[in-house]
Amino acid sequence: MEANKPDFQLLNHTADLGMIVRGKDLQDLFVSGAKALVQLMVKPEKPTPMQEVPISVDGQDLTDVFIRWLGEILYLFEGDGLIFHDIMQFKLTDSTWLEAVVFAAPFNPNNDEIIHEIKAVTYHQAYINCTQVGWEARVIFDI
Amino acid sequence: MDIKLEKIDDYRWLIPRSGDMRVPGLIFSSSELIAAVKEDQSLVQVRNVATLPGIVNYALAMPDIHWGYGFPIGGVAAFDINEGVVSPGGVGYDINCGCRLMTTALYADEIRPKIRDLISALFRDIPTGVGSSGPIKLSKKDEQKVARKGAAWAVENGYGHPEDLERTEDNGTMSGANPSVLSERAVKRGADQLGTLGSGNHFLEIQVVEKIYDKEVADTFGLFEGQLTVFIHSGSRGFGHQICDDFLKEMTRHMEKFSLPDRQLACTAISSDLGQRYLAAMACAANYAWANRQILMHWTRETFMKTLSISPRELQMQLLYDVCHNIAKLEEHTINGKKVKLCVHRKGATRALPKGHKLLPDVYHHVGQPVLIPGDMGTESYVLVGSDAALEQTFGSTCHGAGRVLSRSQAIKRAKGRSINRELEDKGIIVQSRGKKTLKEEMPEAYKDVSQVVDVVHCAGLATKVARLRPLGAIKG
Repeated sequence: MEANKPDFQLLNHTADLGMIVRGKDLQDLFVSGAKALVQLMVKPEKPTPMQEVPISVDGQDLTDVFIRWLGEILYLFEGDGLIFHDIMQFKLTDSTWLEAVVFAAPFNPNNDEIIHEIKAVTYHQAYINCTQVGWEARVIFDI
Repeated sequence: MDIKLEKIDDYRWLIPRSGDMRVPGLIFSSSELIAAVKEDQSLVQVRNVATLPGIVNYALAMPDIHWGYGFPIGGVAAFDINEGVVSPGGVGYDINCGCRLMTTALYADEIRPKIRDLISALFRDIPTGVGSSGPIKLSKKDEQKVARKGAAWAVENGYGHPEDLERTEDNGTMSGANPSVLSERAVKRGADQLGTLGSGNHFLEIQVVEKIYDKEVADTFGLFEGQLTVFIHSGSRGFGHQICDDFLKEMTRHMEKFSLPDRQLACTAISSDLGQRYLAAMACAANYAWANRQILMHWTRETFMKTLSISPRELQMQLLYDVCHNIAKLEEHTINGKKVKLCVHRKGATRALPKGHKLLPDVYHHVGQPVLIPGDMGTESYVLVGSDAALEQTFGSTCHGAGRVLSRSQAIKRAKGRSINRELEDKGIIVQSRGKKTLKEEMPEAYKDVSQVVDVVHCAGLATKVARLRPLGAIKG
């Protein structure tokens, strides 16, 4: 994998967009998932001044936390007009509580190319598995 | 998972009750269409819906059924309001995604040389695309009014005419809306997206009435062969997406009582506080969508008059009807001879009421409800009329479109090296789109043949054909 590029592949889903995403550890998986989601939504033309944005989510299990985390990254773009770039702090507790601070840059409608309107991150067929080489998750987006 | 499927007749297929299914599944399809259905996972989704508490009669699927998330797209399920559940996933994220069709006094042949100008003007005047915002910036107070009043708010504020409302399902205002249950996020996302088309499969299309199947009903609908019509497909935008997401996430935290095969089926008792709050929020989104399509229609009227330099009298752009196809509604139906109140979920399914039904507007009371079925941008769309059989078999529901058959990545692969724009122009269809991938992902081959889908509902008697419309031009997000 090229450095900083998310490790993911698209799944064939009739109506929506699905992906399998991988990471060497859980933090890497969460960052890769967020970067992959951004890649599906928007192609920023050039780096712009970054903001630090705190994000915290609680879920019932690891998969729930992952879905809610991606939901926060989606809202960051759709609601606040900010594009996730990377992670600054990441603390996952008991697989149910995540506190993070992310770097995000404002979306520039004049320069940044929009790719897809993703309506939501769904729970349908979502999973997170520990593999021999790290972690893997599946998620399907409503588009 | 292997799903047992039994053919009942040429247009109906049964998934017999087994395991934790509370009712059987019933799919309206044909031998040709069912083959594709077996290829994806939508039959498993029908089976999963059949396990939900309080479901009545069948977990139903229309002939445009395809794999969604949680519920299949093209799915219909009705729940007893006392024992049953409401599920945001059974409505979808784009609450009250729907269609409206406008007729005109224009003949397509006379306007054909101006179609390119019209499409360019519409593309300029109608905000389209991902996250698009429009010229309307709502204060919190006005947004609450939109959420309560729907299309009526738009008409009160100069976007259209009072007579548009009677030709809109529920008169464009769903009762029970309560903006106080909305999250700050939903309010924020709704503030600047009213009057925007969106992206993906949403579109505004100029069409010609190519064939009339039922002249009497077509006359009542104001349709004639050669007529220019305009078709709009859009929904509740980020406002509705956020409301669905908020409540689905809340419901996943209250699932101890239910053992669900898919977390996306998260649901709650209709009568519970959470269920009632969801229905009140969903009604806000439904109203937002009706206001949205009303405003889009108003701007379309203005753009036509300006571009063609004609008066309202010469244009006569009238609303034929507006129907939603992502919704949960409290409705009265007859089950085993008894009238019962049900919560009918339609996810990618259109209401189809027969003539004489009390919910029909006076103008259509003697013929039945118009049913609007868009096809893909390269082929035809249909106008049908509701029937008694739909009320008897599908809680008054029918299909909502062609239904996808290719995933987006499969479509892009299929479109490699081709200019979809030019291919459509060769067929006499002018298209402008905002997103670079939109035309490829939405190419005609990505969809089932809408004629086959409509033939199933026509032959099964769920709705009958009135007119076929062919696209001349479209704008997309």
